[in-house]
Amino acid sequence: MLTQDRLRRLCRARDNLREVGPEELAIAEVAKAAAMSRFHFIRQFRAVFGESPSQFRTRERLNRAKQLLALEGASVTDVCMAVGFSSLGSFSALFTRRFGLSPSMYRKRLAGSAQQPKPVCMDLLRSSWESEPQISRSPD
Amino acid sequence: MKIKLTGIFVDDQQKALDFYTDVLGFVKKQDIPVGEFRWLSVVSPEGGDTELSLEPNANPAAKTFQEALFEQGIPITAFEVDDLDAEFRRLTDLGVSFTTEPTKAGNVTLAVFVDTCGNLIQIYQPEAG
Repeated sequence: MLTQDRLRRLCRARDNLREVGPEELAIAEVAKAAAMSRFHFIRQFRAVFGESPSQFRTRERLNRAKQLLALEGASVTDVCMAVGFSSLGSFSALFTRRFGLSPSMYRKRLAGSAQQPKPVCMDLLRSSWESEPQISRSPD
Repeated sequence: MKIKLTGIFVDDQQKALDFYTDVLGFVKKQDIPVGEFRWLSVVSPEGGDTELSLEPNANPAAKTFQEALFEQGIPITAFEVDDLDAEFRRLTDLGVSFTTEPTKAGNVTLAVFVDTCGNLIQIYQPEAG
């Protein structure tokens, strides 16, 4: 039975896994913070969130990359490194598999749609992303 | 006025479709691409015509709402079953995690499980008669 306390600890672990980039914790550290053995943590995480911690982190990295690609300035390689991937090939392949187009094509499509008038809220969103601390690459 | 459509937020629509069909046993009703998401719904194979829409929690407000309920242990919705103990056993055997075992509560018996998409779901069996 999944207790309320364990559910909360798994939610905290999920929040930790969302922190992608150079400061991200290793899976074993996330498990330790959740007061579980690595094996037990991975099993419980999958049962509750439907995917392994690694799969969840990859999904978060790709979603974050999508946001960063919307910003001007950072290259696809910069974005790849900023979200914690060490290989541009892996990043590009995973991004394409998930979103149906490569990171560079995604950016081109955004650039095309940027020619259209956009609501002010997009500018607010962009400024909130840009105000976040810059992140750089760390080893996996 | 009739209730023909209701919906829940999910963190991944494909994962949700897999769980709600392969594990819970619902049947896909609508699956229409809408931008990067889908208009996705399921129905019960046991009758009734109410559709359950599996909506992406892409809106930050939806995500905040969904996660707050989940962390507080509050189910997002409830489904009725004919035999709660049998359903509990079936789902447990399929690896579903329960936060509440079958428990008598007033004129129903209920249990609560995790749907793997960010929600707690209650199932209940009304008292006979």
